[in-house]
Amino acid sequence: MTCQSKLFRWSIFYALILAVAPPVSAQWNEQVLYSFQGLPDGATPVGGMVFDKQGNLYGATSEGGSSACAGAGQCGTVFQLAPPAKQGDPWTETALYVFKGRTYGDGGTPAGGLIIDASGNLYGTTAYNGTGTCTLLGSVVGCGTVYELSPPAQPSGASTETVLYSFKDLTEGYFPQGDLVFDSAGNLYGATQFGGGKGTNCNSLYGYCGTVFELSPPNSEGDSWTENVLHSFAGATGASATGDGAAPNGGLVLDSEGNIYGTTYYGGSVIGLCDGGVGGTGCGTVFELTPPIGMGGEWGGTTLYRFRSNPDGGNPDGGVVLDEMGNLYGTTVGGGDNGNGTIFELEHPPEGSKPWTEKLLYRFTGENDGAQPRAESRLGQKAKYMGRQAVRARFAQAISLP
Amino acid sequence: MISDSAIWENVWAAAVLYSFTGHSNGFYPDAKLVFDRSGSLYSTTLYGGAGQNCGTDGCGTIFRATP
Repeated sequence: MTCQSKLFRWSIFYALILAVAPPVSAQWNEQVLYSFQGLPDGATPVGGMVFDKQGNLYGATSEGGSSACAGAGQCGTVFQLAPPAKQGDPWTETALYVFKGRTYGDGGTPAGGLIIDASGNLYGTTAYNGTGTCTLLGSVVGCGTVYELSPPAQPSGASTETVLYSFKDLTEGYFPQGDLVFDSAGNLYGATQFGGGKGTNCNSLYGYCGTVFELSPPNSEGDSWTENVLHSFAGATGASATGDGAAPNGGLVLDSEGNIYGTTYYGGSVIGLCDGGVGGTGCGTVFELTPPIGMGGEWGGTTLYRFRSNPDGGNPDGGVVLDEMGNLYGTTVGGGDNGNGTIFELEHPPEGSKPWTEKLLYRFTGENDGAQPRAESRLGQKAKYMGRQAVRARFAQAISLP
Repeated sequence: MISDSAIWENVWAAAVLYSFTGHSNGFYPDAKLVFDRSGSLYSTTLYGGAGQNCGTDGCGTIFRATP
């Protein structure tokens, strides 16, 4: 290799580094690409967005859409945001699907973002509606759904919404939230915030402490998907410091062996005072679920860490991300120094030895660095961790902790 | 299994890339961020923006943060 070509390669390398790694001291520029109007385009966007191969963004809103759909905030939408042909022109929002309501059986009120498969099909969840028997304040509202939105066959056609699964009743799961995740075999995994039939102290309005579920695709196209509750959480019982968690957040991650990792907002240890509680609700957990050995076996569950609020953080709200060494990273909404939240790492223990060790990577001060990080973390190419420290949630401070 | 104590070493430095300034540019970012190929970040805010039909808090926004 000549010296010149070496130099060229290094210059390309550094150019790439500069392209993806801005100086950390520089203020980024923010531009609003789209302001929601409520009807019919949606309001209150939730969960993560995804890109398709053409550079379009897809997401879901929990409110807005059709005024015919029950409830003050309507039932939400799935939207596309398409980039302009010419740089500087406005992006174009299209409501690909407007949820119609429980009588239509199509789901309603998304409480998580979307994932996309190689064919451009979108998958998400709705917290309510569907054909289930769950109630809220005495009214049947359904137990929530898992849905698929398929792109139109013709460019000008409509997307097709299909409910892949309607949660049947409270013991099976109620209020799915957070993003879904596929395994390599095409099974979907997610979490319901409530339901599951275990734990009586979690939420008097909805009931029970939540589940992690698996949805397996049918053998023949058009047949039903099969739901399997992998774990029902029991919450924090009495003065116990050994609970398994409550209110799982969704946004689960899988490792190469099929183990599932996630967080619960409540439950675990009741030591420490956490969001929404005056003690006793628990400060949340990080958990691992392990697949059965052999056909027909039971999934195993391990609580990897129980938060106690101070100083180690409390109420993780966005699941975890996994690095190549098997370490987990996430954020907590509360706890840390002044209840302003933390960024944590759970270090994978050497083979055969436990426990996992929590390392606090950052404690939000609530001053100029933000507070109460929410949503899922991202592992970037340059930054090992890139999450909500990227944006200062100034207004989140208005939501004060007890 | 539970660890008895959090370890305080390896505290990372945090850099604020952008602080939301108020109503019209969105507020209460609550969703995960997604990168495009050029290193810009995209996400949403629950509230704020120019929407008129959702009360004084607006209807939420989709934003891009560019380095």
